[in-house]
Amino acid sequence: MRSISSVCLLPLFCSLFASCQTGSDILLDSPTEIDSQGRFLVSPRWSPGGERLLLSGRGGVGLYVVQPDTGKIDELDPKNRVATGWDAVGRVTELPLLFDDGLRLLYSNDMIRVSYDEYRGRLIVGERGTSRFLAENTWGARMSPGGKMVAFCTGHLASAELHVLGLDGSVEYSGHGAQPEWLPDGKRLVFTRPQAAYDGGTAHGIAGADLFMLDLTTHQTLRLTATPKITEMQPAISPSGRLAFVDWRSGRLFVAELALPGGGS
Amino acid sequence: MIRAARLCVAMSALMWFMPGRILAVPECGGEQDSCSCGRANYCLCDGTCGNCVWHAWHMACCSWGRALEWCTDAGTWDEYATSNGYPTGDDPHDACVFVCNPSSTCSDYGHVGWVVSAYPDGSFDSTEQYWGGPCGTWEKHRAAGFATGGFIYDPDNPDVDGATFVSETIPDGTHFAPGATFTKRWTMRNSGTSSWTRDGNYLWTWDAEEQFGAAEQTLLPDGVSVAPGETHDWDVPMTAPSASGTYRGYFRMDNFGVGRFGDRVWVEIVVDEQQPDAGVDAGADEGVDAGTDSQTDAGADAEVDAGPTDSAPDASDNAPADENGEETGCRCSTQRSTPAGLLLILLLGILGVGNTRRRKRPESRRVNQTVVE
Repeated sequence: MRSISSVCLLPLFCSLFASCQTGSDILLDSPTEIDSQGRFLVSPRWSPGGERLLLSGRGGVGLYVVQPDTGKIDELDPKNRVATGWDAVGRVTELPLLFDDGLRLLYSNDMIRVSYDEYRGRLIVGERGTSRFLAENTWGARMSPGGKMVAFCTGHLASAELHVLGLDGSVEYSGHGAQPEWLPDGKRLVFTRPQAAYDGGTAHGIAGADLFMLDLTTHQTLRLTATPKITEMQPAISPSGRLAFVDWRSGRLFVAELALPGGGS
Repeated sequence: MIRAARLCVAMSALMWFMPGRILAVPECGGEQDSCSCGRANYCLCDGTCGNCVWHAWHMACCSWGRALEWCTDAGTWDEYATSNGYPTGDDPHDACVFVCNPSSTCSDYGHVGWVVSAYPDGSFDSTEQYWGGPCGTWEKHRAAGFATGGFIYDPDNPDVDGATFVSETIPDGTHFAPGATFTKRWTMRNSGTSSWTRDGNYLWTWDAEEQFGAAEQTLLPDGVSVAPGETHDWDVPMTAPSASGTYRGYFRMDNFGVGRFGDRVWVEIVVDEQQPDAGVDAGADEGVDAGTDSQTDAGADAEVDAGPTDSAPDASDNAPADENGEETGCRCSTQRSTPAGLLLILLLGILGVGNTRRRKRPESRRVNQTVVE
């Protein structure tokens, strides 16, 4: 694993948040397992209305829509390999994997444009006619609602480092974690913290994972799950703050309500 | 960037077609060409900064022990792999090469890298280098679909392990008295291309949650070989927990030392409250033969020493949780040497000398085994 200082363009990136405060755990209150009818489901994505989940099958193959409240599962295409998502009005649509300029747009407004170079993993901020690299060799970037911060990962998944930066380059967080998902308030995010599996002393794959929540107001990291037999991965937050995640060991899908201190989601 | 890539391609092609192909590039992106695979790495490096093809070629050399017959621009690797007889496919496997086709994402000349670990969502961890920087060898995580040119697999280990659930005894929800003993049977079909043998370290393993006192590993009998397409019955003696409740445990095939694979199945039972007068001598050798209500074809021989205390609900539910085997699992690690300060392109026809990094299975360390005879 390379040091953060070699990953980021910011000189103080490494040291500022080498350790963060850890608050009291707020373990999820009995997540509901959705009967997947034997399917191995991954990559949950909430519909804009928060009432449906789009998922893929094992290996990213297949496409399914689950209604968590009713347990209904629609198999859209068991052989799909095309990247898909929801459009603004709740239709399942193919996502462009490649972009004309090689960049994926993460966020834009009248003043600023944040884009992502998937090849080199560069986060690029365009502002007032100029562009600058925010970080490189990143993956899994997620803009906060409101576009003030970006969360992203570096390294291999099993040992990934999670970083949160302000668009001005200010370091909000750096620590072990992956697959960040913002809560609607734009101040908190849920992420998974994988535990690396070891094969002959070399980290190789994932042995387990639990979910955590980072509060950027207090810089506290709160544990959401403590289940050594479930590998909680790919958290997804609905617009109303509902949490979905999958167990990468069994392909089971779970949904939970986030009962958060400080008022809702 | 495009200009740099063109230079990379041109120089790589030049080096390939030079008489005798004697050029060697012993260092690139902080890595040394220290593995033996029959020839030195001749892929061009951008100074010592890095080049994706140098690294992919290097990792194939180290992990597969094979000198790839080409080192052309990255976007053509899938074609050269096919024409040279290498197995290719759309799914990431541990220890293989990924190819990203020429595109706006991966430049006009494409991109290649080495897959270290493949994950259930189709994503994978990789190690990569770039022409034109950032310099060095990088650990990356790539999303499903990034490798638009697919994957190139080790031709010496093309077999893929696969196991598909066929049937079971003791359906989900079967009731047992505390401490009752029973034998769960799963019938699994070999849906891969490799044969399961004891010498090949193929076994049945407890995978997660409740173990029910079962052996962690159940071995094949000596001499038994389960060929692709054939089925095998895995019988696992178990004991119901002493406290009432619903319990589930997962089991799976394991190519020991390589990786677990195939459908991940489970046993789920309900342990009832102890009934003093129930007449079930749970766990005793002479436990009541309550008779299984086996719901599967394979259930005839299933043994239940202290039987279910209630009829089972729907038979069904041990459907496969895991549809594809996890892959041939060669292991590799990336060298991380201190970056050298000088560009060295040596006009030497010297073969690389160093460590050979072929896949090695660790010594067996089986524990608590049961041999199904």
